[in-house]
Amino acid sequence: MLESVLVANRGEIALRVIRGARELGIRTIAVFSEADRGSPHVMHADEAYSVGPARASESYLAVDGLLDIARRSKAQAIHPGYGFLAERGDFAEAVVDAGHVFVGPAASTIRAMGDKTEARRRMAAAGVPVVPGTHTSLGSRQEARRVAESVGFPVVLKAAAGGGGKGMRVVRNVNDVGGAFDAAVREAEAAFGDGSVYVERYLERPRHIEIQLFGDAHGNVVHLFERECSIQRRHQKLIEESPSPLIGPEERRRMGEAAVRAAKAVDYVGAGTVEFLHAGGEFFFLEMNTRLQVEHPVTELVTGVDLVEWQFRVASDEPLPLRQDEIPLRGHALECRITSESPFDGFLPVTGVVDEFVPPGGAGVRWDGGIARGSEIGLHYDPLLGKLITWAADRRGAVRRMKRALGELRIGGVATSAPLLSRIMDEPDFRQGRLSTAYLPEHAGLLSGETSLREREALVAASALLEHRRREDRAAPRIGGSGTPLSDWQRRAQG
Amino acid sequence: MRRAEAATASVPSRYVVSLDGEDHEVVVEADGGVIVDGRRRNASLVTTSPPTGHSLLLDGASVPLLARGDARGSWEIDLGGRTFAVEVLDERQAKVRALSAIAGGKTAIAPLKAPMPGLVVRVAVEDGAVVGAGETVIIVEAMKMENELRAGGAARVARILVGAGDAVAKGQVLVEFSEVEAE
Repeated sequence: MLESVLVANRGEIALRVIRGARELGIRTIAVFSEADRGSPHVMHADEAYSVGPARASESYLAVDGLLDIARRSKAQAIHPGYGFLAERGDFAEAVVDAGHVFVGPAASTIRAMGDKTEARRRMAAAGVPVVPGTHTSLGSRQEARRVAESVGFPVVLKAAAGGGGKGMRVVRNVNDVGGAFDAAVREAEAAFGDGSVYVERYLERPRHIEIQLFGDAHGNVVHLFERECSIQRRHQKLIEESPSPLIGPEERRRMGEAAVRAAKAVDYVGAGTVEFLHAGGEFFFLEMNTRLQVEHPVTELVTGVDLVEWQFRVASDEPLPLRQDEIPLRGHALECRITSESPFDGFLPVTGVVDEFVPPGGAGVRWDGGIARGSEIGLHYDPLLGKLITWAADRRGAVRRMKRALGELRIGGVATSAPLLSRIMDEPDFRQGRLSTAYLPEHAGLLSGETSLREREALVAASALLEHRRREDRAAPRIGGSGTPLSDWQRRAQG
Repeated sequence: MRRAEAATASVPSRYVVSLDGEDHEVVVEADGGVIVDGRRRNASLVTTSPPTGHSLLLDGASVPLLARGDARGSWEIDLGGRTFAVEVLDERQAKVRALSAIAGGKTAIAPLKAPMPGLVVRVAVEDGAVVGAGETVIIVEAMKMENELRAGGAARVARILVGAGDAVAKGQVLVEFSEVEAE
C-alpha cells in the first residue's frame, strides 16, 4: 500500500479522498489556497500546505507549485480528485516524471479520452455505438455552420477539452450557429485553456446513463453497474441514482459490456466512467471520464465497494479485489447535489458566509460535504457545497428518505438548491421514475418561487416576534449581555 | 416595578409586516400569542443556535428557521432552505411610508444591474444604441458559466458603466438607459 498521498484538490472531494486514505493508514497531505485556509479538508489531513492565492490558476491548477509541495512533503502519490487537474494528461505525466505515483490512469489514456473527438474515433473503432457528428474540431463559424447542416438540427456544440456543461451550446437553427460557436469557444478557452469545439446531433429527451468502470495494472476490467443522471439543468447533473429505474437486467448487461470494451480499448487502469445517452431504446457513447465522478457514492452504496479504496489499491499495483460476478447490486441509492445557487431565481450563483450548518443524519443517510459553519462561499470555485446521499431497499424508500433528509439539512447564509430538490422528491413523474434530461424544462412549475400559506404565516409571525424582541432588548439592555438574543426561558428566569 | 414590564410598556406591540409586497397586521401579545390579520395564534420563538438559529412553534407546528436582522426592521429569514426578505414596521413607521409612496413620481427605465457577482466578459452594445426587448446587453461570467444579460424592453443606451474584464458586485448598475424618442 502507498505510504503517503498529496490530494491536489479542495472541497468535498478532497475530504472524501483524505477520509479514504486515512482508513488505509496512508499519510494525507492537503493543499489549500488562501481562501481555503480554514476549510474542513485542511483540518482532516495529517499535513497541509499553502499552494497560492484564491484564484485557481495560481493555486489548485499551478502544477509547479503542487509538485514542489509534493517533493518537500515527500508525498509518494498524488490524487487529483475530480475537476482542476484530474483530466490533464500533462499533469499526470509531470507527476510520474517527478517520481510520484499518479492515482489515475496513464497520461496517454487521459489524453486519448480527454480529446473528445479522438475518444469518439477510438470508441467507434472498438465497436461502441457513437452519436452522429464530427470527429474533428471546428475551425471557424463558417465551418461550424456547414457541418451543423450536414449533421442535421438540432445540434450541440461542445468543448473538445470540456465537461460539466461548460463550453456547451444547443443550436436549433442555422442562423444561431455563429453566435453559439463564438460563445462556446470563449467559454472553452476560459474554463479549459483550449478553445477547440466540435459538433454532434442533439438527441431529444435522451436519458443520461453512465457505467462505472474499474481497471487494474494486471489487465482486469470490471464494471460496477450504472448510474442514472438524467435530472440535469443545462447539462449540470442535479440528482443521480443507481440502479436506473428504467433499464432491465438485459440492457444493464449490454451497456456494462460495451463500457468494459471501451475501457479495454484504451488499456484502462483505475476508476473511470463511460457516459451514454439513451434514447429510443438505443444507447450512444457520450464520453469517458478518466477520474472519480462527483456521483460515485451512489455506486458505493449499492455495491458496498469503497471506490477510493480501490483507487489506492490499484495505484499500489494490487489486483482488483472482486471479479465481475462477485460484485453485488443491492437496494437503491440516490444523490442530490447541494449547490450555492438560487433555484427560484434562475439558478443565480450566490455568495456569502455559511452562518449555520446542520447536516442530516439517521439511517441510510450520507453527507459528503466540504463546508462548515463560517465557510466563505465565493466565486472562485465550483458551487458544489456537498452531496446528500440516501440508500434504502428500493427506490421508493430511497426517495422518501431523501425527502426527509433534505428537510433536516440546514445551511444558512447562502441560498442552495435544496428546496428545489425537495420539491422534486414529491413530484409524481420523478417518484414514478419517468426521467429524462428534459425533466426540468418539462416541469418548469417546480422552479416558481411560490410559497405556501403555512410558510407565509410562519414568516409573518416569526418576523414580528423577532422585531418585537429586538426592540424590547434595545429598550432594556441587559447588563453583561453578549448581544445574543436571550431565549424565552432565559428571559423568564431573569424576569 | 420589574424591568421587563417597564420595557414592554415603551415598546409598541402593533406591527405591519411586509412580505412579497403584501402587508399583514400583527399584534404581539404579552403572553406570547400573536394576532395575525385578526386571527389569534399561539406562538413561541426561541433562539436555538445563536445568533441565527431559531425555533418557532405556531399553534404547535414546529418550524425551524434562521433569522438575521438589521436595526431598521429588515429581516432575512431562511425557511425550508429558502431565504425571504421581510420588513417589520411599527404603526407609526408604516403610516410615514404610506404617505411618502403617494408623493413618488413617474418611474424611469430601470438600469441593468448585475444579478450576481461576476466578471464582465463582453459589453454587446454601444453608447447611444437602441436595444429591443430580449437583446443581449452584457455577458457576465460567474462560476465559469457565461450569463447573457438582456434588455427588459426597448430603450436607448444612455451610459455604460463597466468594461470587459471588470469584476462586478451583485446589484451593481452596469448600464443606464433612456427612453427611445419617437421618430
